Amino acid sequence: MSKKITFSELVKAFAESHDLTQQKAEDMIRGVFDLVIDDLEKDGKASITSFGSFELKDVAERTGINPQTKEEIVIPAHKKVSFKPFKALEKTVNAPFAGLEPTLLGEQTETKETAVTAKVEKEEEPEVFEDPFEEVTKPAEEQVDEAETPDSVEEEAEAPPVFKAPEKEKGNEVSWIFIVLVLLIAGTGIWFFFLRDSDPGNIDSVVAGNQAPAQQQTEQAEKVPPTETAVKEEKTPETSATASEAKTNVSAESKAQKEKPTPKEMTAYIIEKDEWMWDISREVYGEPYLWPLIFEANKTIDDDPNLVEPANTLMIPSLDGSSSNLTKEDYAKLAKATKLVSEAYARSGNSERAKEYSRIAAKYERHSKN
Amino acid sequence: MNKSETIKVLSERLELTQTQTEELYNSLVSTFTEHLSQNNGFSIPDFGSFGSEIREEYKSYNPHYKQMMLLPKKKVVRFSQSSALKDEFNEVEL
Repeated sequence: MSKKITFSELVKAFAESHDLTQQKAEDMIRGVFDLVIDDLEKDGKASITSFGSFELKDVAERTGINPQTKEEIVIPAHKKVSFKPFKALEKTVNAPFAGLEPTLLGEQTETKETAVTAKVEKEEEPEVFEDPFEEVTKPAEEQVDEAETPDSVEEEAEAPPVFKAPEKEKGNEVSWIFIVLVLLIAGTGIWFFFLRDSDPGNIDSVVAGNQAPAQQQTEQAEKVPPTETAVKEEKTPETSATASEAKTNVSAESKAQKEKPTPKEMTAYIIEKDEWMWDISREVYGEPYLWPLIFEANKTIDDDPNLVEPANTLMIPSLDGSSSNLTKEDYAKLAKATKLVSEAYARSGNSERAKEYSRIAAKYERHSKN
Repeated sequence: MNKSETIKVLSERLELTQTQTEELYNSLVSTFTEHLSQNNGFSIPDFGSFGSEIREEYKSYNPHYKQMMLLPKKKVVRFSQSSALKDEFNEVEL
């Protein structure tokens, strides 16, 4: 790798570059090292300015092996001239590797690990978005179905914004929050799912129980069943949202407008983003569970309730009463609309959902007769 | 012996002015440095040989951080004394 320059070559080159006789050049070089030797003899150390220092070092006696005879021999204590280059020389010689710096091995392994995990995270993210999305939201609907409490309505209502947030920002923190939330929902959903399986009569009894007071107390009763049905209905739009991966901003601003009873008109609604009927219903009526009405009014658009094509204009039927205080006519309409939804689900092969909606429709019918 | 003393002695031996000698001295040192940085080893008769070689990266314990450190590869200057120089400082066993 490194080639050797003989002393004569060195002398010749030095003589030529300085216009000296070779003799003088040799004298000069030899003279420098002679002085070094003199110094070493005198002080045990010497130096050549901006080159390096020489030092006489004691080497302790040791045993070695004669490489030729393989005999063990004693190497007596002796002195040795050692050379230590000065910083300037070291730096110049090491120029090709000047950029390299010592690294702590502990740190290095850490950074490697974090880099790897970061990659893994990135790879996992899309999966997490898709797979648990479908799996998880299904149990999530069941949860709503079974919970039958206004609390769960709020939970579900808040879920969609959380879903879309990570997709927009794609920040690690947000996605992790999202993943945790999804897992939470999945866990509770599965729990409720098993609850339901073991106790199928539960819902009906609760529904019946809710209907009984509805007959006795008109005002309160009408409020209770809607929330209950809301719970049931929300689950479907929730899935429809996830199925079509729809994201919408839910604004409550339209609530006030929609709660005013309006005459029987159809108002046109242009779907802005990937909205699903649940969202639209909430925007238009102030209550998401009235979405079957929209579906009924627009059933020509799409047979599958889960699919709402963007850029479509939806006809929004108005209510007799208000969304929080439905009249019997509204219930009748809702029953009809829900039946349609059920049929649509049956057509699209979602028999479970179809059953649920036929049950809900039956309930609405009972309400309309009371 | 410092540089000025060395140059004074050298100038007397070479019958040159001290300025000239200093110039020669400086250029000699830079010649050595250049050769070493270009992977050219050279030897001085009856003194020893200089050479540069690449020291591969190695692990070492850093007592300050109390951790193992990876020291990067480095090009270092090596000196090997000649047997004549060795004999100069050690009594030759006969």
